[in-house]
Amino acid sequence: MNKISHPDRTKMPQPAGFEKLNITNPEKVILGNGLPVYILREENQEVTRLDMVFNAGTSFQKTLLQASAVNDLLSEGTRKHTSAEIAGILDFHGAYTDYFLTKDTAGITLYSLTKYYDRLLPLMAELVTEAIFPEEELSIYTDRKWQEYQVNSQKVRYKASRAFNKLIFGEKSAYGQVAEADDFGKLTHKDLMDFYRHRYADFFVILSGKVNDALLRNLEQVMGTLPRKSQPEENTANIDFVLPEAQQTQFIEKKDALQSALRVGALSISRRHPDYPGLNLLNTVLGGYFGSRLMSSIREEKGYTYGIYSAIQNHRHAGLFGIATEVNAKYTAEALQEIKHQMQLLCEEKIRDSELSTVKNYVYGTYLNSFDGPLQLAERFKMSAELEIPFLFYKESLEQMMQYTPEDLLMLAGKYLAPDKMKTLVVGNISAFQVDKNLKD
Amino acid sequence: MISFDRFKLNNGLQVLVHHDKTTPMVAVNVLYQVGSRDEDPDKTGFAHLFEHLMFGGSVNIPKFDEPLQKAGGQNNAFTNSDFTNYYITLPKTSLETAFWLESDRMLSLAFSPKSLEVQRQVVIEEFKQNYLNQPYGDVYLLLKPLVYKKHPYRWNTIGKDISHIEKATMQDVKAFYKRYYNPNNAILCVAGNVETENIKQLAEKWFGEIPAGEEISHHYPAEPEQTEACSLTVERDVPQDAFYMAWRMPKRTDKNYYACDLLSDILSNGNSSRLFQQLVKEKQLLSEVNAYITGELDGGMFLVTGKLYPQVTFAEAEEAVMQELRKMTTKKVSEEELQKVKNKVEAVLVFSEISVLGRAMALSYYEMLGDAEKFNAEVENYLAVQAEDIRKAAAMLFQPNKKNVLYYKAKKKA
Repeated sequence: MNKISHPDRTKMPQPAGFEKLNITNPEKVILGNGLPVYILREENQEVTRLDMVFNAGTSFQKTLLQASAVNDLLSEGTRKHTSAEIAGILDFHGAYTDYFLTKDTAGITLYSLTKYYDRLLPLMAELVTEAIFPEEELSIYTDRKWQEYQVNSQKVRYKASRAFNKLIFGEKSAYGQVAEADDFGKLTHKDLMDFYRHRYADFFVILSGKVNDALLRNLEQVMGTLPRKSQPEENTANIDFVLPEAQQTQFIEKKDALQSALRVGALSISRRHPDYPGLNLLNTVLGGYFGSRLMSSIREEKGYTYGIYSAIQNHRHAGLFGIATEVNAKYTAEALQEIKHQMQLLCEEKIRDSELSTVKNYVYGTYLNSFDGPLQLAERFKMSAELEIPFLFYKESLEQMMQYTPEDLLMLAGKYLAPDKMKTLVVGNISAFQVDKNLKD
Repeated sequence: MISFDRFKLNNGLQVLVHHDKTTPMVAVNVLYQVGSRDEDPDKTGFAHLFEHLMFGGSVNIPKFDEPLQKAGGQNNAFTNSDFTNYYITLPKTSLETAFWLESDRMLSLAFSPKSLEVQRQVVIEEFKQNYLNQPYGDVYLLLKPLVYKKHPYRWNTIGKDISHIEKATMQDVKAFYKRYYNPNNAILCVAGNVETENIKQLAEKWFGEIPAGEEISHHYPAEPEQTEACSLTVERDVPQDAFYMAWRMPKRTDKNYYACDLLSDILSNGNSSRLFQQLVKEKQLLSEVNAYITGELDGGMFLVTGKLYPQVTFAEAEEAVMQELRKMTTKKVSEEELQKVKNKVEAVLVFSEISVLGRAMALSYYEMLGDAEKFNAEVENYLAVQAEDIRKAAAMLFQPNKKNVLYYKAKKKA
């Protein structure tokens, strides 16, 4: 018989210290043509991830949808292969490709078993140098995207995030532009070719997971011989964002919506700003994790919503701080008031030590988790390259976060999270609930 | 290959341990063998409501999330028709916190009336957000009762009707907990840089004193053989007509499951798949098409769904889809096409094993299927499927009198 033990269930077991966050710079290799390759190795699994990263985000486009269409249609035909043939090769090898696009960068991520790289690398090189964007494929693509847009436009969440992006950055700026229904039909083959020639001329590579000598030799043969053009020097992106004083609130009517989508936020500091680590902690306290103040109040106390979060979006030239939720339509005004109230509290009262220590530990744990394993490291490295920050910056920034006191954070909250500096957007059944009136109270 | 150790406590708790020294994180997964199929037809949505209540405080711990966050951990959970799965990832140095938390909520919940009231509201908002306030959001609410008439799979995990959640009482909640949330109905898996001996001690210390519950036999009303095709037409305020065809699948443990899964891949996994190439690219009748299976233990659904371009009729679209499906029943796929879908399955399985959490979840799931070791045989099960098996699976599935279709019509704008 095992003896029955009675552990003390009233106290949390003490953690045995903290694991160290290990971040080391990737190994860098320069191919014969000068193409930089960053390598993050892990030999235990038989998989490899390849990222090809271009300065080809939406902020560089001259025509709406140009950047996304080029990115989405890279695999829809090259000088050597049709769209169907390319799909056949990728599918046959069980490979998965992800075409990624942000405001700053774009590219392709390939996930495949390492053993198939000899057959997949030539195709990857072909996509980024010999894509032809056939007219027929472009027309199928715009038809499908237009349909998808019609469906998405019925979602309050989708309408809110697009409108909020415009409200914060300004629709004329490179970061604030948003395509509308009639933009899909305007896109031409020439638009795609122009953007492709300009923005896909140069790139860098990240290899992660199993990276053996054979793969590197192959990479040299296939990608080390590609013609490379240096990128145009001038920065074509318009980064004059709207002033904080511009339009403060926006209400978009969506009749009969059962829930209202809410957005509260402002233009924010960039990832490299010295106050960023502190703001990141404040964001976590407010709405950055499940135990956050907003989640505790608006979901767990009041039950207005299934979820509410705040986040800082990082881009190369600016950040966006924003709170997002969908709430029971009849509590729209109450939820908005509570959001502002929680922000006001952060600006007026010091965070209790125990709450701050919880948040620091939580953030520490998420860093350990998100830097665990080569494929995740690749994702993080890609992000640091996009923001033009050194990779080890993440480690320093985590160490800085651990040093903040409640006094420091009170000061920063006043500087960055004052509710009267925030813009507000609601998509929902506005007329029925008179959000506007309640807000002014 | 995932290696693991396995032991059982006296109270029936099954424990699995997987060792991986390369990561500073540990995954702790607890699977309870209770899902929406275990619900009373008049009290649906309970298993899922319960998943929410499991975070509302246990007998000695007022808040589940707070100490876990203090320990640098993250957690979440999901519920489906067959089981409810809770998972935590946290730094290895905090491992014991996960044992403390998970064992306390297995020992007893706090059953605070406030927690029930709030989670009831949260679940109602979840219902609105995902099922009502979304275009096409109610598809599965409509489709499942069309496909299943007797088996509890006829309602969705979120519930048949939101009034069931509105009416849930504390007494119902306690009874549900008492019946299903017991060590002998659970599987615990720990994966990370851990030693089995140490996990044995921790499991004994924290879970050992929890009493076993009544043995549960997982038997459900059998679904009678379908003899007539079924269809339902609804009109909604959506931009595009859409169809959802469904056939009932064999059980998850049936050997034909693998052929059905590969059949769905041939039809629609990847841009080279048949339905995508024929209907989206060639004929341009549909803007989206999908074929996929749901893997419920007692037999899920084989689904073929699509969204129509404005000038296309349901009849045209359906005939074009059926033409492709009929081909599958009469003609064997080529060796190359078969190899393609097998390669894809192999890659998916290898990628799913990358994180310790992925491995912990997989081991727990296969243990529920009968033996965690089955995970390691899964690639072989797929590789063993022959072209003729896929043809037979198609012939068995796509019988005209076993077909169910939901026609989801876009309301014409005035």
